[in-house]
Amino acid sequence: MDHLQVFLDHLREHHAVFYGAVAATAEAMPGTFRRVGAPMADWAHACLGDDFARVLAEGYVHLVIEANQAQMRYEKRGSYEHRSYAEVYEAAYGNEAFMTKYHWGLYVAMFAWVHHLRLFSFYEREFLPRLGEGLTEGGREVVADLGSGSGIWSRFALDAHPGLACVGVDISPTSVDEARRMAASTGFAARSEFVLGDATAHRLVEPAHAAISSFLLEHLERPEALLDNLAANLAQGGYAWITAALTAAEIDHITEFRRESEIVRLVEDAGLRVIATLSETPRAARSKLRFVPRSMAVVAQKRRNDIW
Amino acid sequence: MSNREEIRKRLQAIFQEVFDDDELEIDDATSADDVDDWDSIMHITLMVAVEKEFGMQFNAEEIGKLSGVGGLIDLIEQRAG
Repeated sequence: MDHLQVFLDHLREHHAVFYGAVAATAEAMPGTFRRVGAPMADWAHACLGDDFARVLAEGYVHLVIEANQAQMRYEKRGSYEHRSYAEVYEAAYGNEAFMTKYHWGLYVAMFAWVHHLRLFSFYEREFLPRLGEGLTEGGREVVADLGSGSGIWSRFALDAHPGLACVGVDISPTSVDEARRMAASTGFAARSEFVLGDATAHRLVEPAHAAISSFLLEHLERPEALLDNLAANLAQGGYAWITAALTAAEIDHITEFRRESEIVRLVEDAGLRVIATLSETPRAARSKLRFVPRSMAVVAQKRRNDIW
Repeated sequence: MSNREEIRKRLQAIFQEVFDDDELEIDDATSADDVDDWDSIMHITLMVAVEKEFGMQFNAEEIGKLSGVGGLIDLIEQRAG
């Protein structure tokens, strides 16, 4: 069964207003949309059962509404709503029903938003091929996924390289449970470990060959702590994939990045060499707005010395 | 004039403002398919304007399920009642 189509049909039937943008993404990038969306819909079905389309659709609609309302308030206020983890916990993290919807909404946004698909193409082109450089036949390398959420970025890395295993770290019990459940239901449990922990402090037993941290920096009071810990967990010469949201207000975004160079600087200060960057805006971003939300990706390598 | 018709008239002014179309006419059967640019972003912009006009707030579930004018009038009537 084509689970991606089942999801799209459900979205069109029950949330017609929200279907159009997803259909436009599918039309703009048909190959990437299917390459990302089809396995993700299959994995969601394996994890959630026959009710998967409703859960994904309701999560996605919830996310779009929450994110756009927050962006409108941000446009008026000129700053993010929350400044501390404690405030965000009160508003969101402490509410399990909210977080479950949010979790699946973010999952769908990975393939429903065209700017995220562009980041994914960049991931395929600039990051994944580098992971294979040190792999030998029958060898095993580890990718650390800090702030793993549903574990989807590392999952695509495991799909691309059979010799890879991942260790995901997330502070949300909901996310850790969902990531474990999905790995188990889709045959990846033996190569995936998801642990409850603080991505800014958790240390792996041995340095990882590669590291991923996707859309976590903006959730932290001290984003530099995440990058310092990422670098500490990374073997010398290992590659990193880092993404962040800029001037994009969501209920749990704390650190407001306004310029791409702020993120590049943080990555460099952590001891990494920036190899490639990409910054993308949503299709619907309107030029009259003061704050245009962007998503940025950085491919970096752990430096051997101060220079390279 | 019925309460429903009164709500429709006030909504029509909002729709014309949000979609920047002075000729736009709406009725119970009007859906997102009938209005150019009625996508998810415009939907949220529209709902913010409706909340302001009618002095009420809708949650994400209510906003997410709406797809036409009839349902929106029903929702406003329920909330006002």
